[in-house]
Amino acid sequence: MSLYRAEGIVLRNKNLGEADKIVTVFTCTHGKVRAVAKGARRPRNRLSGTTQLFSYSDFLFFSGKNLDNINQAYLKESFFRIRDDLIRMAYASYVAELLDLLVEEKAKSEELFYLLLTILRLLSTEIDLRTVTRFYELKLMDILGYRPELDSCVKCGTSLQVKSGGFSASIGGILCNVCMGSVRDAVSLSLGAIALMKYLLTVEPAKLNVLRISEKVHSEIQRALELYVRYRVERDIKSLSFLEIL
Amino acid sequence: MFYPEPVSKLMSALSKLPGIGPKTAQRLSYYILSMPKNEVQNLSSAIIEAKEKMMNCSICGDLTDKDPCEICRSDLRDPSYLCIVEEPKDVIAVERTREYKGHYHVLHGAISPMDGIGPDDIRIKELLMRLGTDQDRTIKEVILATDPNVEGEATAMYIARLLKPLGVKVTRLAHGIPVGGDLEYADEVTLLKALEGRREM
Repeated sequence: MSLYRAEGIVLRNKNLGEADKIVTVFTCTHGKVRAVAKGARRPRNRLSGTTQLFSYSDFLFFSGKNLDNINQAYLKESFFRIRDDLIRMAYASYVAELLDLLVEEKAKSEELFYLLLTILRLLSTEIDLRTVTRFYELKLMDILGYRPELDSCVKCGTSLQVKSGGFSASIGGILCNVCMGSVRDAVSLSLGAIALMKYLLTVEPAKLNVLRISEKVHSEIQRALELYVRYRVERDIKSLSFLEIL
Repeated sequence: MFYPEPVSKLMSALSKLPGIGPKTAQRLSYYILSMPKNEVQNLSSAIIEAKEKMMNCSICGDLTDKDPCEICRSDLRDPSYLCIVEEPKDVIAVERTREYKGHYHVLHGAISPMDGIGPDDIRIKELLMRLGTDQDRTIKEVILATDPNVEGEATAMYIARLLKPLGVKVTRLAHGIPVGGDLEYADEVTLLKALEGRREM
């Protein structure tokens, strides 16, 4: 039983009882924390603003038997521009849901925290939200140790010479034209798309806005990464279906 | 812990209610047992009666014992305003102001991408049908009164997007500092919205 202080970003809110919420916070120093925000659904409660979805706040937690409690919170960045725009909100929901699904409670990673913070900042200002999301998917997989093999064919090890190859979510990397036929879940991927994916893994986030990506390459890497992310998550990603409606 | 079977049955039924844990269920069960028989009968028949007689209004979706509901049938209400709320209890909240004299539309939920609740899971289709059948344009203004949280905002934005092409005026409930509140405790977002929506005096 003790108090601890941690900066964190709200990933998910769930209603509890009459006026409380269970808030899932991804903190910088304590990993993913699930905590009760007492009275946060009342309009004049001091926690109601700081525990909004995607808010970046400085929290004071009180560890409890089951769930922790949020004692105090001080808002650092509200990301209200994300919540004020349906499309941005839909992308940010996907970003938050993915992290929530892939990270265990109390598992801490400063790298993931700063990735999330960077992505939310980009999602509240950038215009090309799709590129930001692809960047996030690749970086997230990379940090979690699921970086896809993009240099040579995952089956035979040869580097790709011709114009196109494939990608397999289950093997986790690119395939040459010869091996592609023998893999059940292979989808085609052009060399341009593979090069872009490699570039996204190394690029500085601030430089994302200068990228100009053709519609064809966009839809190729979107499909490949969606399959890969779905394969790794092994569960239904609910916010994806909302993104599809929009 | 040992309880006679009828008592444990009552307790487990009561503990299904929100906010009732095992201890409260036990207290309520023993209290019910100590009540006079006719009072217990009243309670149980009131529960059954409420459940059997209440339904959703076929026009606005609010809870009612007569279809269409009191508000939808009334001649005293102004049909040019339509207020969109999430839940039947929000109708009560708006009614308490005694200012609003228009009609309602209850969505029975809000869009929440992360919980897998999409536009098709709430009564948006019924709203579009209602506006679509309104040939002589009696509805002049649609007021979006969903909750001021992420889900409510998303729902309001989604509906606004759908209604804009229909040419109907769409407004959103204002955000601001609560009456009787302290400015220093207002969060920056609320304060920002209040500044944006400031009025000349």
